[in-house]
Amino acid sequence: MERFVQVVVDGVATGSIYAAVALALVLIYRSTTIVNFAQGEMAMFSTFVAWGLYEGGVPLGLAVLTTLGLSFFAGMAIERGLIRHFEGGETLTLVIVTLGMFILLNSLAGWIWGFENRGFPSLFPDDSVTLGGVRLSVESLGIVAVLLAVVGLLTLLFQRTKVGLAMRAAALNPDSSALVGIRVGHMLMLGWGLAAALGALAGVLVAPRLFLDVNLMGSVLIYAFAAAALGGFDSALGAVVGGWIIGVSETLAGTYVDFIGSDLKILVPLGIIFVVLLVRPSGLFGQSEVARA
Amino acid sequence: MSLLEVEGLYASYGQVGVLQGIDFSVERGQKVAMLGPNGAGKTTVLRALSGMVRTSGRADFDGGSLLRHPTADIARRGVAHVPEGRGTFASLSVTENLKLGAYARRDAAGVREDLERCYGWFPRLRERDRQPAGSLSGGEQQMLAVARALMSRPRLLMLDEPSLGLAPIVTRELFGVLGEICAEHAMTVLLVEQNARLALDFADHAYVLESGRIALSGEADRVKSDDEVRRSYLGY
Amino acid sequence: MTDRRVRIALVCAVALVAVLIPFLFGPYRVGQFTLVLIYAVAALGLNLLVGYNGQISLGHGAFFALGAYTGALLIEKADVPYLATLPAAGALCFAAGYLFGVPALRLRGLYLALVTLGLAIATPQLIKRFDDLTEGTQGLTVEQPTAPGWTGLADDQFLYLLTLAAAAIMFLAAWNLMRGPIGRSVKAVRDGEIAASTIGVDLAATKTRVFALSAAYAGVGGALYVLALGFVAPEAFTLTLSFAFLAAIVVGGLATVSGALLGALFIEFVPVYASDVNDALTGVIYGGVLIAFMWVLPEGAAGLPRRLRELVLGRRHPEVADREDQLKAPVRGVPAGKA
Repeated sequence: MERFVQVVVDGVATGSIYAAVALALVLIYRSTTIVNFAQGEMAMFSTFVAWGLYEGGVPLGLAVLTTLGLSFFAGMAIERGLIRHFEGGETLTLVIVTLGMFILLNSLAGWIWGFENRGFPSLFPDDSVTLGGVRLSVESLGIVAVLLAVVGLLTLLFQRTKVGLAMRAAALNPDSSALVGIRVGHMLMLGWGLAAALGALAGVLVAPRLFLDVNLMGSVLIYAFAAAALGGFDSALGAVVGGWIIGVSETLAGTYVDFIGSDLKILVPLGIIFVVLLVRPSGLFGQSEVARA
Repeated sequence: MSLLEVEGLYASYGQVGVLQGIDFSVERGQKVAMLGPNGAGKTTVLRALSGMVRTSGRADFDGGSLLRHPTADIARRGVAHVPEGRGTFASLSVTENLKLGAYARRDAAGVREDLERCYGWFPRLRERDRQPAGSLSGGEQQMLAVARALMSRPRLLMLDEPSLGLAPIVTRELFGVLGEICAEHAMTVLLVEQNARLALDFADHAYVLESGRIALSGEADRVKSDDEVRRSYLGY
Repeated sequence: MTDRRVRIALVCAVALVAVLIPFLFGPYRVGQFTLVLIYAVAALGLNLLVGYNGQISLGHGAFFALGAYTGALLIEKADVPYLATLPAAGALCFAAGYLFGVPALRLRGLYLALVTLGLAIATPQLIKRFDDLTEGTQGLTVEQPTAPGWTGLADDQFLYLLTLAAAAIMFLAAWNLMRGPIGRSVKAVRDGEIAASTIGVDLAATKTRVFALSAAYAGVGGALYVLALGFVAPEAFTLTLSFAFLAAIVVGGLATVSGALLGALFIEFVPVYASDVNDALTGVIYGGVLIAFMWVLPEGAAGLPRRLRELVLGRRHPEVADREDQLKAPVRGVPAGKA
């Protein structure tokens, strides 16, 4: 029983990481109806930057915060400098462009930092606490706490601030937003900046658990997509719940089901995406028919 | 100098030219109606002034050109455009819609004051202030759209076919309130309307647009009383 | 010289050069050109789906792998003559593509991209999983065709010409198909499904059949690949392969037949030189090229002559202009005329 709770908590922690990336995907999707295939690689790149800072002597916490800030600006720059040119165009074009970014960032990271894997320090002490008679790792609890804090902050931003309201408006109706004086382009930049920062956060949270190499976020991205699809690509709540469901399913399956070896684990989220899209394309919480052909 | 001066304005959607060089002006405190049949280009006039279509020529607002500026910048200069179809943010609440109208303003106290004033003019909006805008009736949404525009304390209020899709009673109520507001605040208005009778009752001056050109210009009263003009250009 | 005559002359010239290649170069180069032809067939298949029909697939490496392993197993375990493996692989992949195409009907662009991406990622794993059949990581060695005595050709030359013949047939078939009423339906679906259905195009049938056909092309490419290399292993069919096919059609030109060949040249030769410089350079080039082409030349290299002519003559052919405007549209909330 204790084992079960531990596995579930672990699953929620892993799921929180998927949720963070899924949130980033949803954020960009809601504001621009673009799916950013490069979200994971952007996060990986950011994680490497954090690693570089840390290796250069910067304390971990500061390195991470700096990286979040840099990622925010990088996200804004990417939207303004690259994506803006293609916005409003065909899906295919944007898929190709974001894929191009995927490939480019992946190789660029390899060029700069090499393709070998390395460790990444955890933000949390390697410790455990006992809650309700069950020993749980501080790291897992910490990750969940961070995600909840992030969700809380984002909710505050979108529901209670002028900027947040403007971002929601710009996503809903760009023409009307312009008519009230909202610079839609700026809102798009903010969305991409936030998403990039979210991705970076996910990266530094997941890196200690896997090895840091250029393929760090490859499978995380697929899981995040599954989470976003499950939750409904236009629902932030869905991204979080979806992430947790997928995280827990993954760890439960990995622990208790023998048939799924580590090779084929990736098929689980793919299968989920497939099934969700066939049965209920708008996901658990989504509203619009985003997926139906 | 007029608040809005337009000379030789051309506008096109892609390769299709709609406005073929029009001239008109709007004085401070004046209410101007832009009339004409469907397809004449009335909506395009407002969209051109808001920077939403390709234009050439001259359109100056308070001395500064409106052409080749982004829509958001034009809005921030005090031009409030209530678009055709109302353009409300359907899934946001009434209050949120109104607050968005005041987006470009920095005086929080003034915004709160104006919010109260809008609810005063349109009590039905206050009743529904937490409801999503999309759940309001057509007439209420139109009032919301107008209120949102007023929240920006505009120097020029542009209305695109406010009577479209509304029952006559609702339209009369809307124009009644509009008339009151304009009287109270000496608001400058450019009104595009299909319903010529309503528009001529409201406005001081009228232009009639036909196939992208100004066919007629005159005092609203005179246009209203000229039977021939009414029959040939305005259909009643 | 009219457009049409220039085109015919060009095709003849290319065909002539193509036939002469095995006699102009040594075995290594000839092998490379053989691969170019193989990639061109697979890329053409992808182009039918993506360029002509507007469905996004990032997983054509999977069908390529399926065709390759089908061919390999038929030769090694069933003693099927090598020529027969081509239609066999094509047929099997046609069926597989059809099966995939049916549920894919329900997936909008980006979701289809996503699922096919997953397919591409999963392919090497799946191959390894079924290792009793596929020999897993070890790979399968396959007996290659040898040149019959009466031709007087070396093996590599024979293989090349064989591949050339197969590729030529596939190219002609595709070109012919896309030129006619079927091609128009296919393109109509891409340009606007609602409009297409109002003029009587059966959307579901068209889309699934195109999917099946494009998979068949990839499958035939895979089968040819086995013949050319004599060996298959999971590492040859990673995500990179699917990306390479995509890069090929973007570079070569979406919705063109010749584009597949141009793109195949790109993906065969560029990485070889790039990896000489730096392991990572290939990826940087692929990624950069995808972005650069969509920005500057969305019609791909095949659109270059037209683009040059526009620059010189200063006007746009209406069909191209429409297509380009579709691919790159202005930003919302920003005045028209500013991008």
